[in-house]
Amino acid sequence: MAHNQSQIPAPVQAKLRSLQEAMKRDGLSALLFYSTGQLSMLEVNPVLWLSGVLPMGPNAGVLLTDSCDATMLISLSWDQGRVRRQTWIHEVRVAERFADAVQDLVQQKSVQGKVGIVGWAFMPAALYQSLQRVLDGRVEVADPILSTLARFPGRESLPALQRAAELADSGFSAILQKAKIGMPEYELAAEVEYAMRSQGAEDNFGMVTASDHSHCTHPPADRRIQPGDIIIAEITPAIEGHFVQLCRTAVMGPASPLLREKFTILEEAMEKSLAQVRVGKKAGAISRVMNEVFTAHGYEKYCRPPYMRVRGHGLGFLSLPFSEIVDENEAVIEEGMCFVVHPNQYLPETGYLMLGDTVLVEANGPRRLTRTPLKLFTVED
Amino acid sequence: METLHTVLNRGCSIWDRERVSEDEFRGRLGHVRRGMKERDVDLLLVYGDSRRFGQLAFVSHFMPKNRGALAVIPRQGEPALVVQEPSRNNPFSKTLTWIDEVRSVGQFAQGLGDALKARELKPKRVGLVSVQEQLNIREWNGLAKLLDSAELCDLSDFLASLRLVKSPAEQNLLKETNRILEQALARFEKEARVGQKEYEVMALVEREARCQGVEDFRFLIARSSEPEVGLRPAAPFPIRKGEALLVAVAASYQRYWAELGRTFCLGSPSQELVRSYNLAKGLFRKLVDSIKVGSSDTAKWLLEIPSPAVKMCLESYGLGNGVGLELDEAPFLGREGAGKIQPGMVLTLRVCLAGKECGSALISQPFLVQHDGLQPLATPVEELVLVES
Repeated sequence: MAHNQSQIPAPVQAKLRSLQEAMKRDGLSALLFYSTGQLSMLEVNPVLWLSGVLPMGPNAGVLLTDSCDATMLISLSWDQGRVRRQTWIHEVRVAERFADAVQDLVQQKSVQGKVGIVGWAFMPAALYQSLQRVLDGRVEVADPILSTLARFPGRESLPALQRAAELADSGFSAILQKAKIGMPEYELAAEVEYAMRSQGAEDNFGMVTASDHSHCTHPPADRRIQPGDIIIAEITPAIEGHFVQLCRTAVMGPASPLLREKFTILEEAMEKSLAQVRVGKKAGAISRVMNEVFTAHGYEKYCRPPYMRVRGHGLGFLSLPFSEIVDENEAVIEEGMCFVVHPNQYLPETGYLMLGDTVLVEANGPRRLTRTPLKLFTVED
Repeated sequence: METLHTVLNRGCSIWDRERVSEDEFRGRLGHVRRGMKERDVDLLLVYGDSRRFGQLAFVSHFMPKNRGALAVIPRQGEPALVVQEPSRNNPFSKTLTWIDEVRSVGQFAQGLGDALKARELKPKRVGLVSVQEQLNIREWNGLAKLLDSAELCDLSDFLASLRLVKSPAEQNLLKETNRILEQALARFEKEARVGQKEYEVMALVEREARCQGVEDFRFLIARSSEPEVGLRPAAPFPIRKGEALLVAVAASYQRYWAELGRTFCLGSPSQELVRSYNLAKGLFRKLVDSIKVGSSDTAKWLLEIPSPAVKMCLESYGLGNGVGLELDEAPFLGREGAGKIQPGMVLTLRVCLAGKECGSALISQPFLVQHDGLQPLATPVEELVLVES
């Protein structure tokens, strides 16, 4: 390997070894790990995963040769300091024209064969076409390499996951403490955001909705909270690139018997689906058991689009066990995986209700990362 | 100026019809269609994603929350919007745009195909705005297949040209965004304390902005104690007495962005810090003076700067740019082909010095270009902001 081994953190060294094997197996001379500046919680970010730096600017990449010589390309010249401080990669270049910079690099590093693109699925069309052109068509899709290698967060990530879970709990607590009649939805969302950001959350996939009847959760609008409103929240802070999600429901004032009755269906679905989170079982079983619960209560129609989409999913930026928890998902659950299980459900009598938690799969079952009880909450004004 | 993108646009998400009316969009549609006619284009596709959606918002007011959306504009008849999202999000998406026909789909080709079928439209020449530059290759392959009998042409520059000069409604929105941001940034001065972590004070500034209804908020900081690192997201490092804190904030309100940059110091600044700031102040005045209606070479004065490090820093961060539906849009000051300064443009002017050899200071302010000069859109802050420690 081209770098000084002792300066590369052990987890990165392990990644490099695996990548070298993958390149040999797939007949690739190099890999280009690519990210646009648009970040997604539902994906592993290829550049962050390898370099340790979350990309800023329109294009970022790491070219890794089959001898594990790594060069990082960034868009913003003023961002060099941050990048150099955070990454193990010594060679960092500013690329004004990304495709041309890749071409130069490939020539300088004497990369003769095919270049696999990791992050192809989100690469802008114009850039991909340029790369095809400048590399004389020697470009291949290599996303499956990352999908295979990045299925687990790793033990070293547990403190970050735990911290993110604590922040998610704080975020939901803020709803219980701060929600007031007459308060605009966006102000409540701002308080949830503050509760987490003031404790170090780096980002948040967060939606807070208050309504007498929601069809889904969405970013907040300017509706003012009213007595009896059902507040649904999807709270997903990130620490060190790891997102943890919590989904809960609270009602302004006492919960009606109807609401309590319907929420117990979600609780039942959650309990039974967590029982499916076992090493060796398939991810689809989690979804199927949830749908069975709702169907048994007469809501079969509402288990499909346009009402429902998925029953859980992995969380980026650094690992993703599989994409979505749907009936057809044949992925086998393994120890060390981390994903969110959420029987969120639209019910015609109440509107959309939410309940969900992120779990870490252990040898004897799932460990919930957050501590907020799995129940319906009430807010006394 | 670029900032770190966020996984979700999660602030106040509404269409405020009083601030930007349907008539405004229909007026824009008229201009767009004239351009389409001149170019013999019978269908225009305008794409935007959650990171960059200025072109899309110009024609639709839509703000993608975490993926992307495509405006479908035929030469006649009503436009459509195709949003990549679960179908249950459709009612909410409709509240964010003046366009009635909103199609929520898994893949763009499906939505576009349905929209064209509904109009019995088989376009011969299709104009593309930000499509291939931003839409990912998988989705593009689907669209390209659907449009394979049409001639494709890029009209991104054409649409960008319509956005250069801001309408009165846009100017008012930009003033409002700046007002909110100024109020939020005032929190930094009020709340910053020695020993406080950067993200703690950032969170207070952000809360202020979000409680006033911003859709999105960004924060970058640089410190004189780490000159080798430029502007970056807030970190757990404690604030110290006596050092320069360069704070750049940005926010969007009803899709319109604002950027402000200030230099703070807790306690008494060192002589070096004062020198650095005074240098930045002088450069900022030169920059403001260089912006004249009709001028296109706004960076000639850079040649007079003796320090290569200072020059490099100014060029790296940029002297400024247009601001509106994007945080950084044309004209890009000092760049080749920037075009002439016109009345009605709104500009962020910026002097950022961050480095060992050029000191630490940041001044970034918004201005409306008028016939007789520049009108500040935020209270001009001439001096280094000293915070009682």
